[in-house]
Amino acid sequence: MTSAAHYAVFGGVLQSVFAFPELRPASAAPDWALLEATEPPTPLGEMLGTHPINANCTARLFRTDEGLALTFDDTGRFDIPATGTLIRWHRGPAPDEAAMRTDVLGRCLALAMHQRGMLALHAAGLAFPGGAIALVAPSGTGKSTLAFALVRAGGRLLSDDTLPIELGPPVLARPGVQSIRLNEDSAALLGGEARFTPEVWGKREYRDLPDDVRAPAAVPLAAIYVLSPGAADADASVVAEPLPGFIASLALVGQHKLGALLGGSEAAPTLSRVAALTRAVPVRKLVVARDLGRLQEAAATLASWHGG
Amino acid sequence: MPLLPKPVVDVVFCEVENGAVLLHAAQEVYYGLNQVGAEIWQLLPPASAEIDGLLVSLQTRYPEVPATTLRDDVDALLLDLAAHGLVETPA
Repeated sequence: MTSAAHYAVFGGVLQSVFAFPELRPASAAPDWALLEATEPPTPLGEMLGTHPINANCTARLFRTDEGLALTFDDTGRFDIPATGTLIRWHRGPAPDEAAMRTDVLGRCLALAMHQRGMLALHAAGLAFPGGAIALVAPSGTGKSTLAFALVRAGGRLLSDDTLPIELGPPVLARPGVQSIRLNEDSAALLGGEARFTPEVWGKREYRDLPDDVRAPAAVPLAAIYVLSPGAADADASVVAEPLPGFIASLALVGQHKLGALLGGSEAAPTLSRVAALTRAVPVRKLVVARDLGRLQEAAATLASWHGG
Repeated sequence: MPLLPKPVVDVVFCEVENGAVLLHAAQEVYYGLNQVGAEIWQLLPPASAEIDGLLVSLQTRYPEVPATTLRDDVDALLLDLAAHGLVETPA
């Protein structure tokens, strides 16, 4: 544990008594504070949802008198009052600080942003002169690989995994954790001069992106693309088509970072926010030829649609 | 005359462009409706009590669609809504 430091994350500032070596220092006033609890936890109310993390750990979300509480079987409990400005950690049976940081940078801050009326999409975000785009896709369908190709095509990375959305108006996409994780094949083929970390669980991470390919602040969101793999030998390397509102809403509800945790009485307000997003921002199906050799061409085309 | 099924009380109707999404939070069911489906949902009780009343309203909005087609489409949607626990059959 260290004295409180400030870190830049999700377009805001996290003040923390725990060190976050994966984040850049910041000097602005904090949007969120992470503290260790000194008082016993208060009773849990309605259970809103559960999400299995792995065989030994499940996340559970509860309502409490002061807001929400997110529990993990290993790291413990995180209380997030309704203001969405504070995360209070109660250590669990296996209080590993690296795992705690993963929980904070993942679901806890997503939940704090949810408390402040935002949406945290499981999406990559790129900024172009014509605005930001979000790439939405289930894990393993090429979202990060396309994001990396878009950076090489002139885009600035907002986020590779969790994209916070302010509903506005205007609708804004905020920066997330700015690194890109690729599988071994994609990193080898597309990586070029980029320095990736050694492979962990089949993925290599590109952390030290230069400042000129990072988007440092929120950008108006111009479009959301739902990725769909196309035939490798399709005539066009990339094609976009509009999605009807109800299909777009269903696709985005399924890609909320907090997923099934936001059930119960939190499900309806979440759906309302998703519906508001689909009314304000065009949502398109993006069919990309499943051929790494044509990916850079697809990225250049997509970038050109947004002034890149 | 056949009575219409009623929307389950907890189901949330959320309008989107050219349609709607239904949410049954307790069952963790999300269900998408296109524009016509959304109109049919809004014609369920209390707006209409019987299927014939619903069909008359729908026929007024879509005079170019044959009555048998409308009836078949409404029946199919109501069956699917029931299968997903979103409407309850009248006693």
